[in-house]
Amino acid sequence: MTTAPAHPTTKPSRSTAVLWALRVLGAVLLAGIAAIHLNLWLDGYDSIDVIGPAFLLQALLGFGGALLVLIAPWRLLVWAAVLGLLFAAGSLGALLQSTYGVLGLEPGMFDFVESDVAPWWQETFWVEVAAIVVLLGLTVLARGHRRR
Amino acid sequence: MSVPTGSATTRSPSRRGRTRGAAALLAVGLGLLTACGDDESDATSTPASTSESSESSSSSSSPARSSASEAPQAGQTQTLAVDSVDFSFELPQDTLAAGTYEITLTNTGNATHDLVVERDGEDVGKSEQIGPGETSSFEVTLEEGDYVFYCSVGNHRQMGMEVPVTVTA
Repeated sequence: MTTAPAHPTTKPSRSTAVLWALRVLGAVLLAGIAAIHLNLWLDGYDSIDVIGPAFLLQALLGFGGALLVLIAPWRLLVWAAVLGLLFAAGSLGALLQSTYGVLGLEPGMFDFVESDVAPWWQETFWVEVAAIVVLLGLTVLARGHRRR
Repeated sequence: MSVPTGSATTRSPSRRGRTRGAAALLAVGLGLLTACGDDESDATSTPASTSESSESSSSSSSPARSSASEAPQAGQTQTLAVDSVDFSFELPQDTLAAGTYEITLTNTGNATHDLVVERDGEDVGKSEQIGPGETSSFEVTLEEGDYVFYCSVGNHRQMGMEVPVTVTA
């Protein structure tokens, strides 16, 4: 007697390939955010009250988030993507608040005001924007993938 | 005399405008994320008239810029006004007569800055870290020799916020 396998193997669907691409891209961008903040921390930001430790924490969370997005099982991928999204968005919000102030608030965080002509400011901004876009896409697709 | 130092950075207006536009759009959608900064931001907006370093006895908004170039008198504290911009210092002159100075730093840039007076790798005087529009004063005695005025915030010194100052007898 022959029995069919309980879970017949299928070729990876197109959506799975897209999900993998977004996972890798999201992880790279999160690692990029982490690397920028670690670089700045090593380059003098470590001496700034609160901001210094915050940058180091961002580096750790960024690298951790990148790993999480890469290795999370499919059923938990949506949560990994959401965490990465919140991290990237929080980083961008902090960057904008510390530089320009948002929603009518005065610029600055923890007595520190950043300048948008500072090194790595532009790179940080665009990497964080890209991370938000990619991880938002990953969140939506992973949610749909989980439902199937 | 104005002594711009280091590699003061300039950007094209269009790039700045694009970034500001994108930043504004994103800021609207990211209200959730801004809560982390609201409590602290007030501390950075202290107007110049109320910002005074612990070493300071002055927070004048119009420091006597020319006094450093006048002939020093024995035992008299002179004043020296220094402006910090993003990312360089501007001071009336880079050669000073030995003596005691009250240095007033005015932050005319957009970022947080301070002013540290260094001689032979040792800090001999320092202002508070101040935000845009703020001032901080401190007193320091300068002897004959070579000094460096620099900003100790983040990587600002590496970005060009340092200026050599020669003190003559």
